[in-house]
Amino acid sequence: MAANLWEPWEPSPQEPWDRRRAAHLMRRAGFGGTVRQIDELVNLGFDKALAMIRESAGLEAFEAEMTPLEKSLVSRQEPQALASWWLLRMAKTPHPLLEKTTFFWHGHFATSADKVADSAAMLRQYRLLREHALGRFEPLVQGISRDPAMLIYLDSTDNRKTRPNENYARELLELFCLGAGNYSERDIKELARCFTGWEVRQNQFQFNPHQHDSGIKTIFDQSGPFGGDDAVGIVLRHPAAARHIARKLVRFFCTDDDVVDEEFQPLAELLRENDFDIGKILAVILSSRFFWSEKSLGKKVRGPVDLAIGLIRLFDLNANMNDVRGRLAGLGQLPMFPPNVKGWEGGTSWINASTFVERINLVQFLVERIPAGSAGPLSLARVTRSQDEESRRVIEDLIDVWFAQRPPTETVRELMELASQAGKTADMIKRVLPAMAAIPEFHLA
Amino acid sequence: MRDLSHIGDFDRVERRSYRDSWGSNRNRPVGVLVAVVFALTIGGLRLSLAQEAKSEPHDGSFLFDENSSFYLQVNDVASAIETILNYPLTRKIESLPEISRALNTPEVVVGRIALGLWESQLGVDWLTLLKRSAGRGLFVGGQYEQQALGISLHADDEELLKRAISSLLEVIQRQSPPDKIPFQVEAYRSGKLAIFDNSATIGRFGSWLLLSNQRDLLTRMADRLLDENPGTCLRDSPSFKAARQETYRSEDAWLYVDLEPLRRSGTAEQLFLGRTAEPGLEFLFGGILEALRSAPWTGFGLAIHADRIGITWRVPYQAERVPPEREYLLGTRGLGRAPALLEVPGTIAQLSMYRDASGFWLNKENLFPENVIANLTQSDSQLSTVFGGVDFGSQILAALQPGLQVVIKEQEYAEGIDPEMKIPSIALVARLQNPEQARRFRISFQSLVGLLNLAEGGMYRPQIDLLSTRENGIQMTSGTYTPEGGYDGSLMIFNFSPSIAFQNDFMIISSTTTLAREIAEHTKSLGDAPTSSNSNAILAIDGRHLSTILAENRAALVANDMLENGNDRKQSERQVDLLLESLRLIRTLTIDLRTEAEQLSLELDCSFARE
Repeated sequence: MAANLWEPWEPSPQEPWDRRRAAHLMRRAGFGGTVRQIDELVNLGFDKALAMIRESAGLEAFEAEMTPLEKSLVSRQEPQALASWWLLRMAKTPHPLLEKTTFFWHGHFATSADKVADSAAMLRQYRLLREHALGRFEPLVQGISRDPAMLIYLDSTDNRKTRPNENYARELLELFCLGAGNYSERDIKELARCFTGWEVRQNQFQFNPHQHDSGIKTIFDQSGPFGGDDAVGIVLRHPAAARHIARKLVRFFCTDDDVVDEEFQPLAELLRENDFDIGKILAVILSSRFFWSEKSLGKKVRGPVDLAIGLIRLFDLNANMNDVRGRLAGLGQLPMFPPNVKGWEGGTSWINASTFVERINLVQFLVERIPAGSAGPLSLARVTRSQDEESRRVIEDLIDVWFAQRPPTETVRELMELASQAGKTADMIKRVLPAMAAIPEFHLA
Repeated sequence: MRDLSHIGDFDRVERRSYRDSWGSNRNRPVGVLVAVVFALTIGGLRLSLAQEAKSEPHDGSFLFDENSSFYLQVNDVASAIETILNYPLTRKIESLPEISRALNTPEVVVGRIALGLWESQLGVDWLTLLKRSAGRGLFVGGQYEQQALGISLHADDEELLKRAISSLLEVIQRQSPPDKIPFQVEAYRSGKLAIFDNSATIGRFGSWLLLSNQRDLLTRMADRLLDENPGTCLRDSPSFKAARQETYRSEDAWLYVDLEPLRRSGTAEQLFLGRTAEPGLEFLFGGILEALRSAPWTGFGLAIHADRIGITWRVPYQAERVPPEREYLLGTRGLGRAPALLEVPGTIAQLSMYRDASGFWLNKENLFPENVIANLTQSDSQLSTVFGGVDFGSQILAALQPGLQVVIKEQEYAEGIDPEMKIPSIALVARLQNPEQARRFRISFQSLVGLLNLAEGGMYRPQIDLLSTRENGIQMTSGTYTPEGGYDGSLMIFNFSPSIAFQNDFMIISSTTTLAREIAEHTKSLGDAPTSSNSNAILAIDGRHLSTILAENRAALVANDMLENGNDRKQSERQVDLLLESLRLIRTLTIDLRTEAEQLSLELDCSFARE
């Protein structure tokens, strides 16, 4: 029964491929889109839509546009500006799945620019995460083990054979690969010996053979004169590794709810069978019965980044990313600045009495960016008999594409009423959306 | 009595039936039209008209009450607008996307059409209308506390003024709802008034057009205009007389403001306290605060020329009565004079000011509130440590002569150094009381660089290599960052080669060695540096060099625009290029704070390049 959850889902008359599901795909595999983009996905049909989400058309031109920006920001040594830059990428990228998965790895291998304080190092880590985001996990771990930003963040820039630094080894086991309870203190110490001589000098990784402990180490009952790369391979062959990564992928892409071991065990096995190929396993997740079931639909709380970028993409806004950055910092999720090595907790931790008000303020701030007198991308090529009818249809559009769970009928009626009093489309959205943001369902993804 | 003809135009408005004339537009609020016409006037609808010779200044101060709190006089408003519209810079600004968008919103387009119709009805364009209707001056006055505002236009062409008013009132009538009478017409002495909502009033008396938001004010203005003897009026006010005598310089526009009502009302209270809690503001603008504390009035002049604009702000001030705590800034008996600007070629900006840094520091208890004093005292202790235990205020700063200069100049980079963001060199120039004191400053400079190296080293960043030289009478300690490790020459830090140089009694602390050396060489040609006459502080900016340095930072500006406006690269590049082209049209900008025995003035002069 449990294994079936990861088998491909097929649309049916009971579970049609419609706006609600297309919007679900765009939210989870990216940051959402305009009504028009979601309708295009619906028209493509499920299989083609899924294939399109994984395509990278237009990425080359996008990178050509963004690369000069990177150079400029790095030279300033203002890591805060890098956060704005990443938000801009999320808002404009033609390949949202790649950016979203990179963001997932950023939360997984959490490193804060607050401590690293070097834009170039943070950018290099970002590039590493993006390069391997949809590739195999092992090269990513190998890369992150040498990544200066990560090593600075974990105080592991000096790792001498006479005094092995255990910080990185501990997090590699606990947070990055296996999860708590799957290793011993001795494993940490032995693993740390493997990484001796791995140093950061002038923000560059270097291997110092004089400081490397070339003696025999024993990790999980395997012994040998292992180096760091060997150690990563040994850790990833541990049975808990696939389970740990599969669980985190499911939690990020599918649901904030706990998933029982039996449910994601088949996914973990698939991950191992596919040599930890993240791109392949994401394709399995996004086409799975689990992803399209009520276990996943509307079962995540929108993080602040998803909320802000989702609105920017919904209305195709040109927003000041420095301002957005400031507001996201207040809401507790600023890219490049995770709170600690565990990353963002997510789920219901995003919402409390204070952040709820701030989230509504963020919505208000963003909808004010909708150009006056414009219906924006919500204005579809359709004929409506009156402004009143147009308002109702816009509200329906917004409910279809933004709400993962439809709000109660009475709430929808009140929204319709408010919309009918609010005038032209852009003005109406500016008035109605903050009211929508006060509805709990608005914050589910 | 003045020779004023009677008006007949209001009668024509009364008689006409307007209900069916303007069709479906009649429900449009008249306010929208008026606002749009106003917006177009100031927003820059451009019409080519030959510029006429500027008329002689006129006077409308006899129209306003003696206790008026402000008075504005524009001698030839149409010529002034026309001159400004003809600036190449104005044309560039008009083509900025935001301005262009604002000028093409549906509301503005409707307004332009309405304006066009009005122009065709009158047979003249709006600028000609303005030129002939206010050819002998535009005067504005009023009372701040009573919120009374009066405006007067004195026309060259009485007939055109008459037709314009008549036509305008017709439009207002047509635009009003059918069930509403927008204004009442009533006779007043030899003229007639159109009164809106029992308050706002328009009246024409011969070649004079009077407008006010209060009927009573307008009738008083009309009485003064029509009576043989206008009686007591603004020009009899002692405060106004003094302001006119001391600050009026036949400029194109002149504004008088009686500061007492503002002071009484508590508006802009901070301006009149004479104090600020910001040390930076005090150091730069303390003189202005000092003058504003007790000044009874102030005057502004605006001079518009074909290739420049000058704005002068004047305020009475008693140099003899400068309090001791502000002598650091204004000098003893207000005679502090800024050093003359250095003639270093290629400077982007220079600031020169009379300031006795030691006097400022030692008087902090008399200048600032408790919390600021506490912060400064803490800094005092830290700075004394940096300076080897020597008291910062009474010994370090006291070693400097009054008078500080800041020079900003574009820099050239060594091979292999090409910072992505190019920051111009900046230098602080001061003179020592005694050249022997150079040693203390040099050691402290080295200590600071040492501290910086420790901090940067801790962050694995490049460090500064210090070198001391003495040649051609210049003693120099210069620091250099060298690209190494993972750092190439594109980082921002490679804009800096912090240096300190001494030449005779001159001390130059500079962000780059090149500028320090250049200024040190230049100071050799200066004897006892001449001071600028009457200038307490001068800021001079060269627009061409400023736009050059900004052009070199085009990539960074584009990056900023992309982040701040969410634009794509092409949009951002267009926006930035337009900004750079606009800046290139500013040739120089000078701001000069001058003190005389009984007056303090701030003069801004901006000159423009021709395209």
